[in-house]
Amino acid sequence: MNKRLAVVVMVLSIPVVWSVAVKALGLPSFILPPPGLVLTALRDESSYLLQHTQITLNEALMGYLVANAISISLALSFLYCSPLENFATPWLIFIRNIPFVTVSSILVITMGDSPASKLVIVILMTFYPILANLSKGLKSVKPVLLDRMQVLHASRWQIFRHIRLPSALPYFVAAHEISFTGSIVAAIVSEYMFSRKGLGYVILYSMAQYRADILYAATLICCSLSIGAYLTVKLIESRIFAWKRDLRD
Amino acid sequence: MSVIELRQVSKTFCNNGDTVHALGGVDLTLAEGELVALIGPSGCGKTTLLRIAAGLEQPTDGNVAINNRPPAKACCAHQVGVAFQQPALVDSLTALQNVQLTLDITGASKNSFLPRELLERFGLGDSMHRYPHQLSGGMLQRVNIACAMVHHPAVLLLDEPFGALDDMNREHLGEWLRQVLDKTRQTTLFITHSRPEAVYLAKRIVVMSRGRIAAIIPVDLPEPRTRQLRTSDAFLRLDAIVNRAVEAVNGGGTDK
Repeated sequence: MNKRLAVVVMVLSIPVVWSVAVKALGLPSFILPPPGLVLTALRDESSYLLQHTQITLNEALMGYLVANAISISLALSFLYCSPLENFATPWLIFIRNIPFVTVSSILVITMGDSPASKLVIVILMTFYPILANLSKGLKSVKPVLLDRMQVLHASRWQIFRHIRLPSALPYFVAAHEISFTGSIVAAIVSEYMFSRKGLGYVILYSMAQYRADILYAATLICCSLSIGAYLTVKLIESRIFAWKRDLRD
Repeated sequence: MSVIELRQVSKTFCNNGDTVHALGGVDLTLAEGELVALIGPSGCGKTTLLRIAAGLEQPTDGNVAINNRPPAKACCAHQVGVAFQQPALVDSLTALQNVQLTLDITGASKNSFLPRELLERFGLGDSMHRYPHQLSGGMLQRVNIACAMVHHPAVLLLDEPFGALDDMNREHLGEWLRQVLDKTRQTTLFITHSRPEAVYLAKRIVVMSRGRIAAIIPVDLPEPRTRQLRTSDAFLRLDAIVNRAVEAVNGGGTDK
């Protein structure tokens, strides 16, 4: 089965499996609503859902951009200043491994329901894959290319631009497959934990109100956002690495 | 006038506490336009010698000069071109862009070749817009050599450029390289494991053993060298002489 057909089969299967499950399990609609009810909720509550989706997207994108800025700066600093990498690595591993729930609780106490607290959560959950991959990519240059550059007396900038950057690009793009989708998940989770806005809050609120239709509608939106983020990265990847295609392609 | 000059060059490496003497007291001089082959078994110090000449390694002792300058300064003046055994090509650049990359770094001078013309001369006119993964082994090596010589350096250092190729391709590319160098007249030091390749290409063959020069064999074959030469008595006699020299120092022949 080719890749596109597999996607079509999956998209068509979801409402079918869902409808079958509703019939087979016989659960009330406030626990497992049928697809039609969720679509109605999507239509009737569209402005409400759109408003919260925008908030979530803004938080995710803002955090993702800041995480990129931090990761790129650190990766470049580590490349040209290895003592800094030696110093920072234990700190980064420590920060990376603090349990998410703990960080959230500390942020609730210190910052309350502010955009900054959610930004911090998104950054903490997304910066490390970008930093680790970019750092590795910048150092994974074929030694023979560095020898060539040395013989040609290339400047540090020329080596970076012509050799290190192309070498790091596949690693960098691969990191975004994780981090871009992760930023949306992180934003939703941070809203779920301490917010009165965004899709995370919608999920929590609709759950408390037994509005499964809105809960499922919000879930569909979350999935669509993450899949959209993933496909965006894949599209960019296919454009950047068009040269990898074989002649027969 | 000597272009490459190595005087009493020694190199010692420390490997897990052990001292390895890669080179010991090597003296070698290459005149302008001369083509010298380094031959010898693996681990005898050929690549170390070439890397020292290219300024990629520092000798532990002795002096190295390229046009009367230390190798690093010669590199600074873009007088050195190196083709490594593994093609030093950027995967995301086409053959033409890879050759152009050398000029982007060194800057074009009045002597430098035009990348497009050079690749056409190298028989890659139809393939210059292909990426490295779309080229055959022989094509890759021709692009590799084009990258090393497009800025027309005074000195070319070739580290087994055809080592990964089959015999037929190797012979063909050897003849091609000789034709190219007959025209460019660049001083060339090249490493090979193939006796016929060394005899066909070089004006002198340096046999190395355990970090030292064991023998220097002049190759007094007629010029220009043609394919027919390979079956001549003079060629076969020289091949036998080189084989004996290698066997004498190592107790065995070279790869071919």
